[in-house]
Amino acid sequence: MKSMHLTDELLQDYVFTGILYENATKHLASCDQCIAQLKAYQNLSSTLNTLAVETFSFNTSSLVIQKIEMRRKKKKIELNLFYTSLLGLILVPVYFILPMIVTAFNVQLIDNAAMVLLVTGTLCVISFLVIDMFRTQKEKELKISL
Amino acid sequence: MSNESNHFSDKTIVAIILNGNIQGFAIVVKNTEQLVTQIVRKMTTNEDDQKDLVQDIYLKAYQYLPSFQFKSKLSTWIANIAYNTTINYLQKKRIPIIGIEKENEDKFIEGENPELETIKTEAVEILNAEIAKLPPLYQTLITLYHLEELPNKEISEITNLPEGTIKSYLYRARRILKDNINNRYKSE
Repeated sequence: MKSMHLTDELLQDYVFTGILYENATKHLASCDQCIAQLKAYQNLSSTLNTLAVETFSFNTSSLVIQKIEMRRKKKKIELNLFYTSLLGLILVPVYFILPMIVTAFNVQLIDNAAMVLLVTGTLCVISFLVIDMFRTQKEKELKISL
Repeated sequence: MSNESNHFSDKTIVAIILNGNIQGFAIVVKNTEQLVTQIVRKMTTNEDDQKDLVQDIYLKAYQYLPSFQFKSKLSTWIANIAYNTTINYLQKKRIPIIGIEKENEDKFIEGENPELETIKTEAVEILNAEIAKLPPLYQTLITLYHLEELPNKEISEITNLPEGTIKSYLYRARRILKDNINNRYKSE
């Protein structure tokens, strides 16, 4: 320790966390160079403590809330459009396919109402799977961008 | 944190937001604004970009809030989003986050009175100028540790860097600051 100077890490530990090893204390008592380095770090520390926290010139809260509100409205419109088109996608085939099934398979025995229920149910399951796929994909994209 | 926010734990406030109360998110923004500002401002300089980044950060936080696991503090989680978003921005702009350590090249403004340099406010100005010369990551670490007074563990959660790496970057950043400030005074 006598011939070697204290490392930057040791000096910084002392100044910024208050840790000082015994042999380092002895060295500091006799080494002007290390004392000078220590003082430089102490000055840095005291100036760091007086630094003011920076702020933005704009109002973050209102900016963010405005953006979120806009996004929510846009999403709501998109969702409404999506469900409307989905409903159309379900009802149009039911209207056209049902008579075809009845004639092709000669299923007069099955009540028409039950057939509607069967076809609608199947289409609902398919659309649910499509929505789920769409949602999973969107979540994945979000995760990547995050 | 404000007094208003102290009434709410992270879990309560997340539940409020997830119930559709957007004002709950306004409280979160207010509580985390300072931390996010430090990260964004230390890593970017253009104000328009900062505006876009802040909006992007909070929008991501809002959209991704249902998946928040409470494994860390909400503020740490948002700071992590802020850090990652800003890093992505820097990468897109091809700005290195570490490695561009500018040497102390600038000289004092002509006519500046050396005696005044001992005044605290000027010391702060010098330090701010020297911090601004550090690589973006070092600036962020110095700010999070010294201004926000966050422990290394929390900084590690925000930056996804190991605590040892943070410690070593902090040593390095402080040494650069000390050397550059010393050189300024010596050059006088």
